[in-house]
Amino acid sequence: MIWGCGGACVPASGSAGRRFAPGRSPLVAALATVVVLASASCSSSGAGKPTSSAPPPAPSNASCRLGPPVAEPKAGAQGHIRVLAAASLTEAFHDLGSAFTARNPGARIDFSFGASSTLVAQLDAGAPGDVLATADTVTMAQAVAARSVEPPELFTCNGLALIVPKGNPRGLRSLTSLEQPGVRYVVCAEPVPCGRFARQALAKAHVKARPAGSEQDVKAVVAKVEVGEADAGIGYVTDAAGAPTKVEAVPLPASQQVLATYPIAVARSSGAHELATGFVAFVRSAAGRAILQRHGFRTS
Amino acid sequence: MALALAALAVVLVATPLVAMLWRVPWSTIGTLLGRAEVRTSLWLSLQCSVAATVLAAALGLPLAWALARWDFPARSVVRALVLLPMVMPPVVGGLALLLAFGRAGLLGQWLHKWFGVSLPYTAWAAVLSEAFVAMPFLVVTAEAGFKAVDRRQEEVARTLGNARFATFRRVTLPLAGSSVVAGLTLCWARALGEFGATITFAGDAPRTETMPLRVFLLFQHDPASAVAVSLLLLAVSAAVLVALRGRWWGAWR
Repeated sequence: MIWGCGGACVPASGSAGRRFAPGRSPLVAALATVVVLASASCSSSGAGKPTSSAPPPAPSNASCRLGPPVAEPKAGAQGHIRVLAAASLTEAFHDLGSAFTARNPGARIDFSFGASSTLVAQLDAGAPGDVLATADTVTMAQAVAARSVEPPELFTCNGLALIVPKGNPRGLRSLTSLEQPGVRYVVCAEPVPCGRFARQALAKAHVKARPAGSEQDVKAVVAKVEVGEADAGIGYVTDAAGAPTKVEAVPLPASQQVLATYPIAVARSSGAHELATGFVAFVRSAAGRAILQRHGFRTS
Repeated sequence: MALALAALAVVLVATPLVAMLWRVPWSTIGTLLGRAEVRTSLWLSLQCSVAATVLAAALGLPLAWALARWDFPARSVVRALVLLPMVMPPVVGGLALLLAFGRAGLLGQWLHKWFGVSLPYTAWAAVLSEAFVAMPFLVVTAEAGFKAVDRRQEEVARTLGNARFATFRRVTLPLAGSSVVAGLTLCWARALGEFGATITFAGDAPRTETMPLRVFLLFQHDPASAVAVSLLLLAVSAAVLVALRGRWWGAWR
């Protein structure tokens, strides 16, 4: 066989390039490093660091215990805050923001929605944020432990639901119906609150069918159902609001229901502390609760 | 001035790499890399990247040969089309793959209706995503290699009685050999590192959690493990560069 360089090592004008012998040592050294690292992965025992979350709260059908609403803050506050909120709060918090800025024209609020676990990690890494609202107490506890936030307060609750295409073509009514043949359903990823709750509910209902995949946050679950990639998703009762013509939310029966309790807190790194505290107070006030209830959240 | 800017460029590229080495949990790296989920991802990544490279080679080498040897009317259009995944943002590629081959996709809906096959959430979707973004690297490098082969050698082989494919196998391929190997190596490395298209098209399921996805998922709740796994991927990338040592740059001239 004639071995040559082909086009790769000749100058543009040359044709049958020069022979060359590939140097062995750097290649061998590089490959050896890779093999050593990879074998560290293959040969070590499987004991690894356990996931750093506290045990999840027991699922319950308990009512949403929030305490009395707080007084609304004084109107006319000024400043600019950034609110980090769980994806499921998107529509409700946009409305809360509009209502707050109507009462406080000098205030500006920017929102960042996403999986609560991601938001907590971002805040801990130094991302700007003045208010944090998560979909469960476990992720908020991580933020408290990292000293990113001041003591949190619960402000609303949400129930789980099956997110299905509008009209519910497969007639899915409960988690047990996910075991029908050919049903492909998705849930949120495990560190995300809705993923934790979904897995708790599935375990509680003894559902054997496993989810096809895990999504980054609850809005991604809704998106997969919306585009037809999944027949169903496990999300919140409030989640159909984002795409009301394409999906609907079927609340789980009481025996399979798991209640999500949402805490809210002011970030310690906030540069607009007074405005942030004011927004939190507004969310916890009677007016704030009315807006949350309108979106399907529970305040009792 | 130019020297200062050049030095700054080196600093810009080197600093993140140094930062990663600085943060690696050296004392616990063995345990972190030994976890079941990391081992599963490593094995899955190796399987998928090799499968993607085989797929890219099966389709891409004939294409590279056609682009190098034939002068057909739409050649530049075809070349631009085949190179598009290389320039396109990977997540856009993933979305496009989903719209084409997802369960409700342009072709995917027929795959589902007629064969009950649904690609998202399967390892095949990861293979397809990786092949989609990595094939252009193979085609570009191999085409340059085939182009540089002296046609007279092929003609001589033909006059000596070799059939077309025998000529290709015994003359063209060996002469373009190092380009093809370089192309395959680049293709494999790109396939191994693919993330955006994989997570958008294949999604996050037990059979699609390749190493880059594993880094992304780990970072959200266990950053130390994410750094450890990243180091492994970084070592692989460095090994590939060392192995190629500038050989593939010739294809771009």
